[in-house]
Amino acid sequence: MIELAGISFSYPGRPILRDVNLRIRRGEYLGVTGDNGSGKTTLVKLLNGLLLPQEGRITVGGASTSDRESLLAIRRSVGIVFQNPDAQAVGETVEEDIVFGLENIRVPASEIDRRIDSYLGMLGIKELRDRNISLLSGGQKQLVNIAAVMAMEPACIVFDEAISMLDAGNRKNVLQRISRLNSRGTSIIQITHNPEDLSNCHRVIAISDGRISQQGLVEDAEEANETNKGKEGRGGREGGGKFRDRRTGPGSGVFREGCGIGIRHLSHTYNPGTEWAVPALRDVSLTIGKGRVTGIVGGIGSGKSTLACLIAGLDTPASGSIAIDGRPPEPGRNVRILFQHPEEFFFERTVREAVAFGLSKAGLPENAVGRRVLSAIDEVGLDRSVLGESPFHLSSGEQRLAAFAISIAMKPQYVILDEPTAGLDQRSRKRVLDAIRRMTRGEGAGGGGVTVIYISHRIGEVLEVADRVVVLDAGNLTFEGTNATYRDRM
Amino acid sequence: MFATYRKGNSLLHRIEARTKLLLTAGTGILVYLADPLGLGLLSIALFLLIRVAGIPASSLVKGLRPMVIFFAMIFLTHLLLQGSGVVASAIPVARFVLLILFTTVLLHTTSQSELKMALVALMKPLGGFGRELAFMVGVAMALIPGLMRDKETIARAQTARGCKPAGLRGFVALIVPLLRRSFRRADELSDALESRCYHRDREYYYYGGALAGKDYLLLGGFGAVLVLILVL
Repeated sequence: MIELAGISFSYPGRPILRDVNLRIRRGEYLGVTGDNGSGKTTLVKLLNGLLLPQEGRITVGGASTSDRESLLAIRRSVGIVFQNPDAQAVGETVEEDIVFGLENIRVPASEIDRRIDSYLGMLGIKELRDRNISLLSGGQKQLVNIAAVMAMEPACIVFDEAISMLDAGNRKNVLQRISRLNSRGTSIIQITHNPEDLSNCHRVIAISDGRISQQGLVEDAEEANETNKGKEGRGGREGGGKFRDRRTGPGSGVFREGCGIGIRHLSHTYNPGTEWAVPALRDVSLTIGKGRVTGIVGGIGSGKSTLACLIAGLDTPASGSIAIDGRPPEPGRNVRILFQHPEEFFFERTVREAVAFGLSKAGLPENAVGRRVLSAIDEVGLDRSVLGESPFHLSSGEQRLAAFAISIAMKPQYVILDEPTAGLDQRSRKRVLDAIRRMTRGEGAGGGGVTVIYISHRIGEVLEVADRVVVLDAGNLTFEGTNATYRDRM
Repeated sequence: MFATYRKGNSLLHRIEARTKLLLTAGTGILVYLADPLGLGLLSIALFLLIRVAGIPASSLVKGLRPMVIFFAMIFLTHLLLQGSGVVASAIPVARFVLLILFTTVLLHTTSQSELKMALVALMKPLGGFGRELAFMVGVAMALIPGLMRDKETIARAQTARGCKPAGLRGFVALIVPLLRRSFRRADELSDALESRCYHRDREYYYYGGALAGKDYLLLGGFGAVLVLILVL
């Protein structure tokens, strides 16, 4: 169905793909893996003519992507769901967004209505049909994007890291739906860093240095999946009904007044008093002990990011209280937060300037700033040579670690990491987790001993580093306990 | 500056978006032409519309607040540089206030999608150019909430880093990531649009329909009043 012959593609001064040959058959389920920057997304954009190869030829159903006349037909055949859920919606409401693509390919109005119902129902989000997209959570938006592409019923659907940000329950559901579509003859190309997302693939390829470095059968992916079972796989629906009625009472941790983070009867609602009012947290009480990693997990809309912002002092709770070492949260002082993709907030010219920024602002003498910068860079495991480079020129993993260094340099007592491994490949992910362990165990030159609050929808990853686990479900606290207790109860 | 749409079932909410858009444009002409007495009558009409639409006063004040310096400058320019009296200097300010408030009524009672579809329909006579223009306006409107959210997120992230969003440094800390995000978002959106088979000859047929009798009545009545005022 899709054939790539001798494909090469470069950005100015940077070769991305070199002499790639690949054939994707009708009805095939192909998995594609590779590190950040290996050329996966470039490959995706070449498949439906968003990019054109500088060498070689790509044909879809016999038509070349270089032929402008065929482009619309090719795009009708190859649908793509991209990674960023915020940059794909065209309509104001969910319904309008799905209608957009269907009107483009002139689906009759009555059929549009049927498809909207059918695909929203298939993904379990029928109730979102009339909702305003900008008010949905990231995960919900991505489900809408998936529904919008599926509803166009292309012969091949490419998922470019599109399900990585879904929680385990939704990911499992979407993977099942994808398999069902595949069994009905739709070709699927699944681009992912997560081996467990590849378990239904007929074939898996890995891209490295712009070439297809490895082609394997489904067994390879299954083997990888087995390795990961007991981590992500056992998570099931994080924050789901399993944990209900097992809630430990507030203060069951080691909390003493004036030490650690005490959260008491915390409730919060967005847009209160309006028709868009969304209760985000309901009477949450818990204790986060000092000098450890506490993982806060939950599915889409569970309230974990809301809780993070409240602890960080960036929002004021509707009711309840938060005390950090007996004091209210003071952002940038007694608590720091790193949002998802913290590298997007760089504005300095070099990594050195970025790490030194907060230190200089705090009035530290220049030599002390220099020492702290070096120790922070060492602590996160970055090479000191990156200090003179632009943060924008680092790899994704290095950018993430540089963002960690910015926080660590300030010697914070409490750091909140919101989805710290989002969008990273396995190697970068491991570096990030290693850095977190060093931060908390005091092994680094920066002194360590930081209390980390690790927010994630991926329970497997949280269990790798967290001492304690907190599970949220629809704004309710459904579990609070040690890592071992959590594993025992699974 | 402008209000956000609030769902409702008032008389104004139920009027077709094309009609509301044309009436608002026509009212703009009236506001421009009106003498003090006319401005008074328009103010009464505006007050009634606000009551009918159920728009809270706080929302109107919020919409006007960012414009206060602009209003003051207009007033002082007329008063001090052109030597107009206090009342004469207040009239141009009143025109601007009325224009903004009439637009606020439109935006409060018409959703983005309704506005987009109204633009598409009204620009139909312009052919492909009109369709593309309406589409671009629609996409720009869809991007605004994302941009506002990005600005908010970046400001929070920089605050969390200890960088207050004030002064030149604070401005740079906000604008550099915001521009990078916006350009990237625009690129990504363009890829998503093309992947979903967007083409300039696309038709809009799922929503919308013909104007009803009451719309023609409203437009006809308003048009007649406007022509009368222009002729007299």
